[in-house]
This record gives sequence, structure tokens and C-alpha cells, in this order.
Amino acid sequence: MKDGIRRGLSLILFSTLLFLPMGFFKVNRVLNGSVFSLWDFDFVWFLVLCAMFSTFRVHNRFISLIRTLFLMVLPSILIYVSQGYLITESFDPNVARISLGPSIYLAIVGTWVLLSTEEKGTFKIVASLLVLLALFGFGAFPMLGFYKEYINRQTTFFLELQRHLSLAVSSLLFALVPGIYLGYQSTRHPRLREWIMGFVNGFQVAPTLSMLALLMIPLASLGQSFPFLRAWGVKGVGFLPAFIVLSLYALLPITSNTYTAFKQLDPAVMDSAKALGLSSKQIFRKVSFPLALPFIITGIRIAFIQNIGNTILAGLVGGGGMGSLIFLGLAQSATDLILFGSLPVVLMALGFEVILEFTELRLKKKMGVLYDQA
Amino acid sequence: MIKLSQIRKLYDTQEALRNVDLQIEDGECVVLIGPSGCGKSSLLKSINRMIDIDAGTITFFNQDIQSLPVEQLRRKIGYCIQGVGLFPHMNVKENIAILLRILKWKEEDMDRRVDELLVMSELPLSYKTKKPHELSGGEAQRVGVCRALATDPPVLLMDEPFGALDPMTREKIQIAFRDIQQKLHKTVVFVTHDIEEAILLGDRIALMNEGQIVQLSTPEALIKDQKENFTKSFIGQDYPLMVLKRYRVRDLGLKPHSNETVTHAIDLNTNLKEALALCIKQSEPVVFKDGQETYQLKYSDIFTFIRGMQDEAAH
Amino acid sequence: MKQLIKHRVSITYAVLFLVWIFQFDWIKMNILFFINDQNRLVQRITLVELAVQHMQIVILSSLISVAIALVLAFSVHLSQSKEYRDLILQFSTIGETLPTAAIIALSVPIMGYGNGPLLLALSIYGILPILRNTLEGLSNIPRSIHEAALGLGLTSMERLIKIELPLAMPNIFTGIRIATIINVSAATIGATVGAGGFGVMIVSGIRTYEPLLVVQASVPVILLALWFDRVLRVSSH
Repeated sequence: MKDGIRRGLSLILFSTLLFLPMGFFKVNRVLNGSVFSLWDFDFVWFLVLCAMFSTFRVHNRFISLIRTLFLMVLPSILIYVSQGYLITESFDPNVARISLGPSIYLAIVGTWVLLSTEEKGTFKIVASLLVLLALFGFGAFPMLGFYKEYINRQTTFFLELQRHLSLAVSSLLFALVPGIYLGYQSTRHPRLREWIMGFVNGFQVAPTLSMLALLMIPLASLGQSFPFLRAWGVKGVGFLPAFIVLSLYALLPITSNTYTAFKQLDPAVMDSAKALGLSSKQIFRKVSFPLALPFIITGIRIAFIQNIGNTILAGLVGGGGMGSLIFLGLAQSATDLILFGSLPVVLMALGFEVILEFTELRLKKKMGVLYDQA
Repeated sequence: MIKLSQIRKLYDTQEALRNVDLQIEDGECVVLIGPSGCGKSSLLKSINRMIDIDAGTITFFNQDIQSLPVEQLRRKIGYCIQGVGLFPHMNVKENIAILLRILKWKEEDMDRRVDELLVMSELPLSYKTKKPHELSGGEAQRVGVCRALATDPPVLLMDEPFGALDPMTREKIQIAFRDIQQKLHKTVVFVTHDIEEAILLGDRIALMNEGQIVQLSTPEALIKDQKENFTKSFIGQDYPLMVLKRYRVRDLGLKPHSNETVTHAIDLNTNLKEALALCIKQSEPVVFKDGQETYQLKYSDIFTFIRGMQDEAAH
Repeated sequence: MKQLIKHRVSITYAVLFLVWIFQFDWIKMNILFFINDQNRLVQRITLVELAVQHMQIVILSSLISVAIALVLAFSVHLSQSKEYRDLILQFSTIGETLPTAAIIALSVPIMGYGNGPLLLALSIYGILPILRNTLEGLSNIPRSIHEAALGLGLTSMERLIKIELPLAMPNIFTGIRIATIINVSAATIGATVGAGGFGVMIVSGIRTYEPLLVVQASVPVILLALWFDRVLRVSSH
């Protein structure tokens, strides 16, 4: 009965291919196009049947392997196949495009749900995604509206992607040391803790948008009054306001989790370290810090994922990043552009979450702290 | 030698230790025992400065403990606690050798020392790579003792180390500890609330109540010499029987008998309490074999012995 | 009178909030005179109307989150199935990892512009805190009470409603409080897709470099969040 629920869910998701639209054929970027579904193709139904059968439990090792491989490439196959839809009217292949419909998205989620039931499922899901991305990058889906946007804006895409990551990462790094320091100090000074928690909590209550906006003004006026600052990039818009706001927002999870990290240290362990005659520095280096590290990483993980999402808003204040693509798409009502801007962010958030959680788990096992948790 | 003079300790306004005097000789094991809150743990912890006292002096081998840097003092004192406190991120070998590593011992010397300690505490050498969470309670505590003894400190402080173990494991580890102590002759200060443990392990017992030492005697002397009413009620009326556990049949000095039919499967290592119980069950003298020799044991043998110990203690 | 003093903090927040949205012009002239007001824009919509919109969105999305989260939590608890529980928790965690702004943007092709995408995104994001806290509250029932309930011969459903639910109330309210506070701030992003609420003024303040507009709309948002924090904390008795 294990995984029964997930298999059932996958079955349902795959079956949506039978009746929900697979995609939309659009003659150009803006006009709505004709809908197509499974039944517009010749033998895709066979593919779908295979997929549905794969939700059943398999005992043979060889068949199981085939099944796993099949599931890993299924998303790519589905997308590839959908490109084969052509209408008889004449169209310009350079401008016309295919947009993916709900059933393909649902089916792709279905393959991932099914893969998660397998051993090392997370790896397989990631592998499947990488295959998809690689094929995409190499132009295996030329008719996809998504791909056309990509080709048109390739340089912009990578530029904004790089900006997005650099903003998210640099603000995290900037908040890292102060956050850990404050978190550690607040375990030793209870009064300090209240102040810090109050201050940092106050931030979480204020909308990110407001903080960004309110920071723009003083920075802008500073930049205007002091030209040399302006040369350094102290402007009302751009990288700096977003950087400062993101760093401040990253402080809370890091500080709070560092506090917990050091608070949860076993007093018996700390006592015996003291009694052995280790100096406070030695205790910190060899005992407290290694044991607290996995929980500090928890804070970093939360802060980073939060940052990736918040960096989208940087697009509103000229800080660049995927947000600028998203807002552009929203302004132009271009669905493909919106998808183009938001899907990478979503994938990044999920991807980093998986990687960092994995690191955390490994560290916890290594530090022997995993087993203390009920 | 450790000398504690006029030790006072206050927690807020509560006096945990009131002008306590105690002198611990080299190589002896002094057990601090008493009801909860009597101050035994506080007294113990003042020796390695885990607790700071408010008045009085403690000298450690004729040096005031305040005159040394506290880390240096602690490196000369082994410390074992109930929770053991093994470092969860290090394996057994790294736990035991941590101080050695800090003192920059050579790799081979550290390896040798760890092996030595493991053998002494009857732990398999293969445990070196195990992590603390893989050990049972008794095994973890043994590793804790090894770690405390790593630098061969002259003094060992133990704060109810065996309290969290189940009775069977506790008995085994108590006996193992007593054997180690007999071999190494460390100066040990041991805190417990279990009078039987105190009898088994202590050369002298310091009975404490409300921050003071009520009586300081050998286990044998306590049979007759009970200074306060408190002593009487704390150690209990069956105290003399408990003292029997401290000795073994071997200590009676029985001479081998001619071959008779063996009635019981005890040996010279059986403790006297068990032996006495056996005598009660059996109306005839108990006949047992140890190795090639056959022995005969009677009630009177045990009584004579215990009487002799009491008289010795009285002097 | 005693009640008033006990709740003085939340009343203060509420009063400040109401004064702000109704009497902003007065505040602008007497307190915020130092902020450079270029007065370029003609306000098409009043602060009070924005306040109403904002609260509607927050309350509605919170209710949806609560409904979904409670239904999921109850079904997990009643099923006693660890597999189901892990699955639901995993999905909810994904819901929290996904950036709110991205979800809002992604919902536009499906729902069009306006309040829809915002409500969807906020509801999804709010499910996990409530779900997690509810499950925690339900599973932290002391053994003795649990066994007494079993001994009384109640069905699982009756047990849930009559005994476990009331005991888990503090936890449930904690979850609702967390979700609501996040909602209040996050709702401001909706303005980028045509939703209403204070976000509208903040975004137009950004676009026109008018700090006053930003302050004008941000302060009530903060006050509102603080007020919800107080009110929902007190209720957990």
C-alpha cells in the first residue's frame, strides 16, 4: 500500500491528457490560436497508455529500469510531440508558435510524482529536468512559443538570470556574517535577543515593496547631492536599494535559526567539553560550532529561497533580474514572456531548496544530531 | 591530595554548602552521598571550578586551585557526568583522544593510548570508529570514563555517572569501575544517592545533609558508629547486610576441604551477601568448588569475618 | 473599562490605522510636512477605498487558506496514514517554497488580471503555516487525554470535533496568525497585476518617484499587520 496515493495521483494526472487540451497553436505572438488535444495526433494515445500503465507496481528489475528511463524522458517526449501539430492553413514558421496546454503541465507533474515514489527519486526528478533543459537549450523544441521567446531574448535572458542570482547571492552573503554573529550573541545576552528579534521581526511585517520604495528616496537624494557616490552606483534605482533591502530581509531567518542552533546544544556535551579543560575558543571551534552548523544552514536555506523570490521585486526598481522580464510580460500581456520569466525563478527556488535540504540532512547525519530528533 | 576548607556556596540566599571541610588522600575513593539538595554535586563541582565557591579554599596537591589557569587545572582532573556528554559529531576514538589532540600528542601515541583505555574498560577495539549514537548507555558511559582518563589525570570526579543505567548494566559497570580503580589507584571523588553504590565503591563515605558533612567514615565503621539520627535513617536498618556486598568469599580465607559432594555452584568471587543468602537457604554447610579445590562455607565464617572488619574499623 | 485597558495595544493600532486612512490630509500637512510632496498626481481613489479592498483580499484569502488547510489537516489526522501525511506536508512545503510573486505572475494567463491571481497566490502560500500548526496541535494532545477519549467510546470524528479540535485551537490560531500577517504584506504585490489594495498606491509611488504615496500606503499596511498580530494572538485563549 506504500506510495499508493502517489500512484493514484499520477494516474489521474496522466489521464488529463485524454481530455484536457494539450496545447494551443498560435499564428503569432498575440492572437489566440486553435486548441489541440491528444486526439489530434496519431499514436500519442499509445504513449499515454504506457504512461498510465507505468503507474502500476512493477516487480521485475529490468522492466522497472525501462520504466524509470521512460518516465525520465516522458516530459521531453510529450513536449516534442506536441510540436508536431500543424494546421493546414498557411503560416509563417518563424512567427507561429505552440503554447503548451494544461494537460502537458499536469502530465509532467505526474511523472515527477511517480518518480518520487522510486528510490533516490529526487535525483531522478532532477535528472529528468536536466534532460528537458538540455534538449530545450539545444533547440529540440523550435516551435515552442517559449523557445521562440528564448531565442529572441537570449542575451537578455542570461543577463537577467545572472543579475538575479548575483543579487540574491550577494545580499545573502552580506547578511551571513552579521546574522550569525547576532544570532550567536543573542544566546549569551537575553536582553540583546529581545532587541534584535523585535527589530528584525519589524522588518518581516513591512511589505518588501514598501521597503524598496522607501529606500529609493534617500539613496536617490544622496546620489544627487554627492556625485562621487553616484559614480559608485548610489542611485535611487538599480542594484543598491534592492541589495540593501534583500540583505535586511535575509537577516531574520539567519539570526533566528542561528539562535536556535546554539540554544539546542546539549548541556551535557558543553559541560564535559568545559571540564576537559578546553578553552572557550577551542570549545567553540571544535564542539559548539560544528554541532550548531546544520541548523545554521537551515537559516541560510530559508533566507536564500526567500531572497530568490524577493529579487523578483527588484525588477520594479530597476534592479534587473527575472522580475524585469516578468513585469514586461505582464505589461504586454504576453503569456510566453510571463512564463519565460517566472518558470526559471520557480525552478531555481525548488532546485536550491532540494540541494540545500540535502546538504542539511547530510550535515545532520555527520554531526550525529539527526538521531536526537524524535 | 585535595583539601577543602570552610567551603561556602550560596545560590541566591540559599546556602548550598555551609563551611564544609574535607580532605581527600591520594589514591582513595571518597563517596559523597546524601538526599537531593544536600550539596554533594556542588561540592564536587567546586573542585574543578565548574562551580565557583563564595568562601573557603581548595588546594589541589598543595596548590590553591584559584592560582592556576582554570583550563590547566581541569586538564589534571577527569570528569564524568550522568549524561556522559560524548561529542556526537566525533567517533569513539576522537572523543577519547580530543584532549590528546589539543595537547599535540603524536598520532601513534594517541592510537596506543586509546587502545589501552578501551582494553581496560573491556570495550572491543572495533568500537573506535563507532559514533556515540550507536552505543548503548553502558558503553557510552565507559567511553566517557576512558575520555576522562585519557591524559592519566591523578584525580577523577564523578557525578552520579551510573544513575541513568538499568540495574543490571549498572552493577556490571560498577564492578568494572571498582576493578579499574584497584588497578590504577586514582584519587576519586564520587557523588551518588545510592547507598549500595557508595558501599561498593568507596574507601570512605561522606554522608551529607543540608550543605554539611554529617559523617565521614569507612563503610564498615558506619555499621556501628552512627553519629546522628539522620545517619541512621538515611542508611537504613539493613545497612550491615549491604556492606556484605563489598566483600567476596575469597576474602574469608577459607582453607580447601577434602572432597565432598558439591552442593552449590558458587565460587570464590561470589559476594558475601549472596553467599549469606545461600547459607540461609541451606541448613547444611555450603559446599562449592573453585577450580580444583573444594571448599566448605558456614554462617559462622561470614559473621567472624564481618566482626573482624568492624573491630578493625573501630581502630 | 478593564477590557479596554487589557486590549490597549490592539486598540491603539486600530485607532492609528483608522485615523490614518480617514484623516491623511491632516496628517500630511501637520506631521509629514518634511516629505517633499510634488503633488503631481490626482488621486483617483481614496485611501479608505484602498483599505477596504486590501482588507477584503486579506480576509478572503485567509479564509480560503484556513478552509483548505483545515480540511487537509483533518483528513490527514483522521486517516492516521503516515504516507498521506508526508505527501500532504511535502506538497504544502512546495507551496511555501514557490515565490509569491512568481505564482501571481503565473496565474495571470489562467485567470486574467485583477484580484484573482493575487487571491490564488496568497491562498496557496497561506496553507502551509496553518496546516503545519494544526497538525502539530492535533498530534501534541497529551496521551492521557487521548486514551480517556478512546475509553469513552467516541468515534474518530466525534473525538476530533469535541476534544482534539478545542485542544488544538491555540496552535491553529498561531498558524492563522502567521498566514494572515504574511498575507497583509504580500498582498501589496498584487498591484502589479491589477489587484486592489494598498499596493496600488505603493506601486504608483515607485513608478512616479513619489515617496509620499509610498509612505501614505505603507504605514497602514504595517499597522494592519501589527493589529492582526495582536488580535489573533489574544484570541488563542
